[in-house]
Amino acid sequence: MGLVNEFIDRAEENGTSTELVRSEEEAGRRVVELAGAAAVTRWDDQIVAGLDLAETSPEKAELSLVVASYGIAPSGSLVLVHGAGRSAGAALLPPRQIVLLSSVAIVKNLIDALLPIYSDSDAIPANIVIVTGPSRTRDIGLVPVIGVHAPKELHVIVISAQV
Amino acid sequence: MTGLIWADTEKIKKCAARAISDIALQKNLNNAAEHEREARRELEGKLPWQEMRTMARQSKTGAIEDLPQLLDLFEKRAIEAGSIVKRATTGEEAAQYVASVCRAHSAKTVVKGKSMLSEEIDLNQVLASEGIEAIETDLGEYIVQKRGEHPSHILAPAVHLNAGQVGDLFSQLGGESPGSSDPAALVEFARRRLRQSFLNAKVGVSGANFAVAETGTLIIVESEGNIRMCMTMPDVHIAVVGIEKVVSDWQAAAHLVQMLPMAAQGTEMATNVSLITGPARAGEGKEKELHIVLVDSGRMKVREGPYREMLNCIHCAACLAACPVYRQVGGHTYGSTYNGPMGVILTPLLAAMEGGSAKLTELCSLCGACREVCPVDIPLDDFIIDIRSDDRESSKPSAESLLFTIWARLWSKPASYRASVKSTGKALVPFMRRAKARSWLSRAPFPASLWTKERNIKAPASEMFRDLWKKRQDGSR
Repeated sequence: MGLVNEFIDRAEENGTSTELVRSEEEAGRRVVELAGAAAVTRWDDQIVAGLDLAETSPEKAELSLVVASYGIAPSGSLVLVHGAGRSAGAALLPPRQIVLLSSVAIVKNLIDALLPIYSDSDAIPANIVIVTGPSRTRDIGLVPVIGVHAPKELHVIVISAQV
Repeated sequence: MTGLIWADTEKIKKCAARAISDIALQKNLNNAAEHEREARRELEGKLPWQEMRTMARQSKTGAIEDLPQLLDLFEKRAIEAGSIVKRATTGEEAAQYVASVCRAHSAKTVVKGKSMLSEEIDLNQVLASEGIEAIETDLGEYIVQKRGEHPSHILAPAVHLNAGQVGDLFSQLGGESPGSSDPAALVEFARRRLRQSFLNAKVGVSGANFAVAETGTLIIVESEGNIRMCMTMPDVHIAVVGIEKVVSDWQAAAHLVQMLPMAAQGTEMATNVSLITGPARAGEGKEKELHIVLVDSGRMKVREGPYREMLNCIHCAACLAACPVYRQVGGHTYGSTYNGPMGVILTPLLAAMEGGSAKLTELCSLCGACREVCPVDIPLDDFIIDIRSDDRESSKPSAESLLFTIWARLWSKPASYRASVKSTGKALVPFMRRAKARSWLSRAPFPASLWTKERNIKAPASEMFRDLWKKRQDGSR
C-alpha cells in the first residue's frame, strides 16, 4: 500500500485528481458516473470496452477513457502504451481524461517501468507516453496556465483489491 | 548554419542597453530565473544531487566517447523498427532533406514542435524558400513567430513579452479576438487555432531530447502536448536530432530524462515524455512514416577537440537562469540561437570560431555560477576563458596585445615594477583629492582609464607596503 499511497499523494500534487476503488466493477460504475452525458472516446481494453457510454470520435469527444500500463510512484506518473486499439489521438485530443490503473502496476521508479518494456526487442511499442499531470504552460508572462493541447483535466481511478 | 545570427559588438551593446532599461523584461527574466532556482534548490536539497550529476556526466561522457559506434547502432535499431534514417553532415543537408520529404508528400504546411536544432539550421527559412509554411506550435515559439522575432530563451521563448502584448498580437492575427489579456483566455485562443493546424497537417516536425541507441528510440519531453500532436496527428513525422543526443542504453536514458526537468525547472518529471520507436504500425490505425535526421553540423569536429565535454550539454538551460549577464540582458542580445553560458561556448565551437563568434564569450563576468548548476558538471567558466584565449592567440597582434606585452615586460623586473607602481600612484593623486585612500575611483588617467571606462578602481594607499616595511626594518636596526 506504501507505493499506492505515494503514487496518490504525488499525483494529487501534480494536479491529477485520484480515487481508490476495490474492484473493476466499482471502477466501471465510477467511470459511468463521472462521464455523465459527455461524449466519450475510449481504448479497446476490456475493462472500459463494455461500459454503457455515448461514444464518438477522438476529435469530437469531450472525455477520453484509457488504461495505464504502469504508475510511477515518486512522481505520480502514468505510463500509457499506444498500440492497436489504443490510439494516440484518443489519449490526446479530448480535454478531459480518465485513466484506469491497477495498483499492482505501480512501480517505485521510472526504470522499473521501462526495463520490462524495452527488454523484449521483438515487441517494442512504437509510442509510449509518460504523463505527469495535466498539460500546462507559463509561456505568457510566466503565468501558469493549466490545459493546453494535451488533456486539461486528468483523473486516475486506482483499482486495488487490497483496499 | 551554426546558430550564429550576428556577431556585432556594437549591436550587442545596443541590445544589452535596451534590455537593461526594459523594466518589464527585467522583471520577467528575474522572476523566471528565481522561480526556477528556488524549485531546483528545493529538489536538490532532497536528493543526492552530486551523485546524480556524476552519474549523468559519466553517461554522457561515455556516449560521446563511443559516438560513432552508438550512431551506427541507433541507426540499425531505428531501421529495424521501421524508421527511415538520414545522416546529415551539414545543417543545409538536413534542412534540404526535410524539404524533400515535404515535397514528396505534397505538404504545403508543416506543424513544428520546438527544436533549437531546427533553428540552428534555419529550417523554417529553407522550407519557406520552397513555399512550405512551418507553423510553430509551442506557445512561446508561436508567439515570437507571429511577431517575426527570434526566441529569447531556450525554455521560455516569449519571456520578454507580457500578457498585454500577447493579447494585442492575437487580436491582430485576424478572425476572432481573444477578448481579454487574461493568460488563460489567450492560451485557449491559441489552443483552438492550433488544433485545426494539427488535424490538417500532412507533416509534423520535432526535435528530440535523447536518442537511445539500444532500441532506436527517440525521447521527447514537453509540457503542453503540442509535440505529441505534431508527432501523431499527421501521417509523416520528421525528427531532426543532433548527433550528440545519442545515449547508449535505457539505464542512462532513464537517468538523464529525469535530470533534464530537475535541472531545468526543479520538477521530478516533465508533464509529457514521449518514447518513439518507429512509426505507428499497421493495426494501430493508419500506416505512418517516421524520418529521423541525425545532424552533425560541426559536432564531430568539436568531439575531436579539447572542448569535447561541451557535447555533454543536455540543453536544460539551468546555466541561463544562474547567469547574472543573461538575467540582465536576455536572449536576444546574444544574436545567436543558443545563448547564456552554454550558448557563448557552443556557438563559436559549431562555427569553428569564425565570423567573430568567439566574441560572444565576452558576455560573461566569469562568476562561475553556471558551472555550479550544470547537471552534467561541464566546466563552463573554464571553457569560456579558454575560448577567449584561443581567439586572442589566433588573431593578429593589435594595439591591445602590444600594450599587454609592454606591461608584462615592465612588471617582470623589480626595478621597473616599482617605478611604474610609484608613478601610477602619484598620477592618481589628483583624482583622490575628494576620495579617501582605499576607496573606489570611477575616473583615472591613462592607462587606468581603460579600466575605469567600465569599472571602478581602488585608490592606492597613501604609502606602499614595501616602503612601510623598509621603514620598519630600518627603524628596528
